[in-house]
Amino acid sequence: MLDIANEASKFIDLNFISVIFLFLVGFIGGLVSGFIGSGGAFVLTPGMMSLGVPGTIAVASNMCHKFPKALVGAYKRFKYGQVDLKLGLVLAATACAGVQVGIQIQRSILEKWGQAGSDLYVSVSFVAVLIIVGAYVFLDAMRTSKSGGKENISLLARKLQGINLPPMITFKTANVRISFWFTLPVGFATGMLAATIAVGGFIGVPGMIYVLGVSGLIASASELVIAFVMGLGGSINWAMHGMVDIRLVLIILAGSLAGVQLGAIGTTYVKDHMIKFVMSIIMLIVALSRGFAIPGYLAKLGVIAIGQDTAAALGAISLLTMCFALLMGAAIILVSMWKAKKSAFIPKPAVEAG
Amino acid sequence: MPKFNETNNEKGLRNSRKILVLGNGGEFSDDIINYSVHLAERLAYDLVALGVDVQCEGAAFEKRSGASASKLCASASRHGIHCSRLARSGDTELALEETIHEIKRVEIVVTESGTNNESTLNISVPVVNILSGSKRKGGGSMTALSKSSKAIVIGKTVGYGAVSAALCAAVFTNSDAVTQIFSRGGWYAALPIASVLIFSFVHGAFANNLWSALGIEALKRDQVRQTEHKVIEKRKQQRRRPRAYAPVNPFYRIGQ
Repeated sequence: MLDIANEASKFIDLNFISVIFLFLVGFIGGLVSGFIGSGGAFVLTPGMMSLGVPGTIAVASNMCHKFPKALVGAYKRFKYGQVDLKLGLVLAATACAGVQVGIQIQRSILEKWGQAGSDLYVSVSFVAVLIIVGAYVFLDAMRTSKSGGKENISLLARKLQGINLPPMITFKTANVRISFWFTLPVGFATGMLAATIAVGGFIGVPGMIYVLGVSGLIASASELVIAFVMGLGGSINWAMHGMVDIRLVLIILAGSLAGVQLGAIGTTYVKDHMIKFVMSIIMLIVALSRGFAIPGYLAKLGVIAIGQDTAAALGAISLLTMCFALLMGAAIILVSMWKAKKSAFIPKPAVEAG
Repeated sequence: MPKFNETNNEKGLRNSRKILVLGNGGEFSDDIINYSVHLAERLAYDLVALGVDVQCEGAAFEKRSGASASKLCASASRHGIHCSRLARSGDTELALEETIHEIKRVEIVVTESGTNNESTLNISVPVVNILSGSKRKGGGSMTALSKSSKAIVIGKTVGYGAVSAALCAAVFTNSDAVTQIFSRGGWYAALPIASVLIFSFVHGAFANNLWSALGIEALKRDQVRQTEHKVIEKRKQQRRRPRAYAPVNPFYRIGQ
């Protein structure tokens, strides 16, 4: 532990541009997290690394900013009556088990195939999970949008809710009664994904919506509770190894705490399917960005042969696409909030009263 | 469930077609008064002025809304139109539905642009939303703060902002020492965790007040969504009463 702590003391020098960059990424990431319950964090780790922060410190500092942000977001959305605390805590408990399994898988891959193999595993998980789940959520959001914004409970969720397998749990805010056993895979997969790609919500929120039958609004709010519990556990772990750079955390938090509250406010302005829409668009663009990184890892493993310049260019495109995903999500949230605000003040066409 | 405080006896409500005029924050601008009075005159309808006390201000609201509604009724009486006024408290949508349900024969609801449109989206009669040029334009749900509460919010923003900046300054002016102590690991892990929690409390409160001071606040519809919308739906269902059919057999007695 001491060796790691010594290594961690090599914290980078911060200049004005890097402070502004971290603040802005924190703000936009917070905005997206407050709105869809997760996301934003995936840009911060590579973003910090591009500033020269060592990988482990970037991961640790990112994790340490995530849990207070989730706490503030969850509190804000709890006040709006959107958080099902019981659902969040039940899923968080199983997610913690998922995180441990995810870490073990990562370790065994790292030992067997080295860093490139581990990176490839992460990227393939990214692409596979995000494309499948993202496309499904996107189609569902489009369907809901066409049907006038009315959300229907999925067939799977309705069937699972009908099975009486004790212990049954009632989630009052979510208005769902379902067997505990069906919450297990959702929580577990959330934890697994969180340990692999650092954003468990990409499976947690769709899992709650389509497996448990929770509305998008409540699922995204309850995801913040899961993110808080997992983030707190992870942060304590990293802090005990002395890996947290408190300066980076404070700068990111300064932006993200403002962003997360704006995102939470945004959820009260838009229709529920907008949350699915924003989440799926981010997921699909992030999947694309990780797709760009795969050839580089395959080249490192010796599976394919590409030039170093090409690999570096693909890496840069991957990072830029990720930033674009985040900006796109933030833009959709702000535009839809603006439209909702505007519609409150512009009169509708007068009704013929004759 | 919202409480209903009727300031007008229902005997004043005649059995004629009515235009329900919804006040913006309980007040009726000159634009809405002119429009609704002229509309009522053209159509020969009665007027009902409704003020909804969304923020449960109580007597202060009744006084303010009552004075404004009296202005509307005075204007209506000058044109020979019958006008009555009602004041309610609670959710706007629920109050509208309740009023329409109770006084019957409401043909049109007139609102103005400053009023939150969300609350009139689901009601069962046509809504005419007029563009208001009053001083309240641009206010509404996002800037529903009174002057005194806005001063408090700005004060809190400045206060929490100063504390937040002081915390940051404390860390950054001694950054070498702080990072060294905070990254010692083991029990020292409590330091960064406690610091971020304290910072998130202070800076979170600052950000919260900052958005409020900028007029960006949550819409309140989610709080009423759970219970009160159910009541509204129930009301709508109750209204659609099935007709009673008498089983009539046209071949009765034919066989006899």
